[in-house]
Amino acid sequence: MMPWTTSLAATDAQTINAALLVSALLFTCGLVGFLTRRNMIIMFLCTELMFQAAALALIAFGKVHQDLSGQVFVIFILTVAAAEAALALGLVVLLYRRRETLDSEAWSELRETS
Amino acid sequence: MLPRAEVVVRGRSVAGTLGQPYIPNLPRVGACSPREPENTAVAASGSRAGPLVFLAFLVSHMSPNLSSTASHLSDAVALPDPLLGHLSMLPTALLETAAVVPSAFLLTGAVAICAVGLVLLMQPGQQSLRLGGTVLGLAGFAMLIVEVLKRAVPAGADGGIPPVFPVVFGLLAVVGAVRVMTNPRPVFAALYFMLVVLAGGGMFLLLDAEFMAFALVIVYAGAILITYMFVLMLAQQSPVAGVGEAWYDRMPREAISGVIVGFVILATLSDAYFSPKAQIARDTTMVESAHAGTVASWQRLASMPKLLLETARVANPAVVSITSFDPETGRLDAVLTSGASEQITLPPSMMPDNSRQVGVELVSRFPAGLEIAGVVLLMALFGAVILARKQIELGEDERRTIAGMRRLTVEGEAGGSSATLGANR
Repeated sequence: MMPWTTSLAATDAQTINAALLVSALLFTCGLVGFLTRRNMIIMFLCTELMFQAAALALIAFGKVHQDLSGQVFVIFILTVAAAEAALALGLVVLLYRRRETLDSEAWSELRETS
Repeated sequence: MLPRAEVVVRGRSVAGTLGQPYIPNLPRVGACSPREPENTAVAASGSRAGPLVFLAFLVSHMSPNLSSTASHLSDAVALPDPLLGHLSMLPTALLETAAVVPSAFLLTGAVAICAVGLVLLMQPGQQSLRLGGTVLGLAGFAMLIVEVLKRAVPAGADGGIPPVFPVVFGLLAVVGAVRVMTNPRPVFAALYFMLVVLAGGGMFLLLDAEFMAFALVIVYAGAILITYMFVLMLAQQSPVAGVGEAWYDRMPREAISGVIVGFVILATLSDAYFSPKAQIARDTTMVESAHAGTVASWQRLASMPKLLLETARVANPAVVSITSFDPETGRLDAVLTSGASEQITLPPSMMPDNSRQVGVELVSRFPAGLEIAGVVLLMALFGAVILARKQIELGEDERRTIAGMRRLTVEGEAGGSSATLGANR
């Protein structure tokens, strides 16, 4: 192999490694945020972070395998994320109207206290 | 990049000879000395030049000049040479588990440092703790990314241009993500999420996914985040004067256990992604699938006869029709205007662009998925409409008054009948 080809390949591998690391870190941040935040909107924002991490990992592994399935699956992830945002945010607004708070622990009993 | 790092480092009067890349006196691959994080933290918080020193640390570690560090490395830890050249795929490298263990420990240690930094960052209202958390988190991230990038480069090989863009986009994305989960103001959290999306789009570009990069920015930053903004405006309580944000935005719930759960998963993931075994498997796959990727691209071009003809006309304007196309080699037999037949080999630069290829892949390999995605979106539309049409029941205002909650309608205005509500809307 020519020297410049090996150096190009190394750069690709470095980019993929960096992308995988960033994806793992984004997923962790999303997970920790979902577990520790109390604001319902931020909790859903953190699930979006996890979606983002999954998309990045899919693209990186698609690059490893030189296969476009990874990119196609990111389209599906975008679809699910959009649907989830529409429904979840509608629900959050309804819940906010009932309790006047975004605190998720206001709903820890999973029913309306009357 | 390198000379600037030297200047900064020399400005801090760290020993380094002119014209030589600065090699910090830290253990390299395979050693996790407890001194290392301290050194970084001290260097980064020592003076106002802290961020610069941090950058210098990052850049000097990314120095592609691995061969000059090899001797340094081998007296730091007695690493066997075959392990350094993991791209040479010597099976003996796998057997040297004794040398692999401290290397894996380095990643885990960096993850632990990040975790401690994150816990400190989540403490509400204590500036000094949060500053320490920032420094620790950045140091942990620097260790992680330096180690991970180093594992991607075969030893003895020139690492090429130091990968500036992946590091910059990665840092932006991670900083944004941490701010999303620690910022007490929800609106700012949403804005930082936009930063994450943009940096992620940059990462996608670096990974040759141009279409998805722009689709991501349009759909996420343009549509989903705007929806979040609207909901925040509809549902957020205004900050109380003197106290600031609502208490549930300032106080994290079970910060320490949450961080432990998250970072155990991160340690597992980083070990699964970056262990020498996984790295070798990934490098092998990349080499093996390079040809398959080219063939697949040509096959997608072959499935679009009109585009194939246009492409052939770019190569030779006299082409009238194409009789055969071989995806293995990119060679085609064409009939020219003169009636003669000619063989043309298409260069790789004439492959269809990324958006065309993704489109062909989507409709030819995943038609069912495409239909299901459409159904999911339609159902989400119905669901959102039904949720938004939810009526406030008659008499709810009276019940809310008894429960001590705010009325939904203005008092004295027909007492919350549905007619009033309709007029209010």
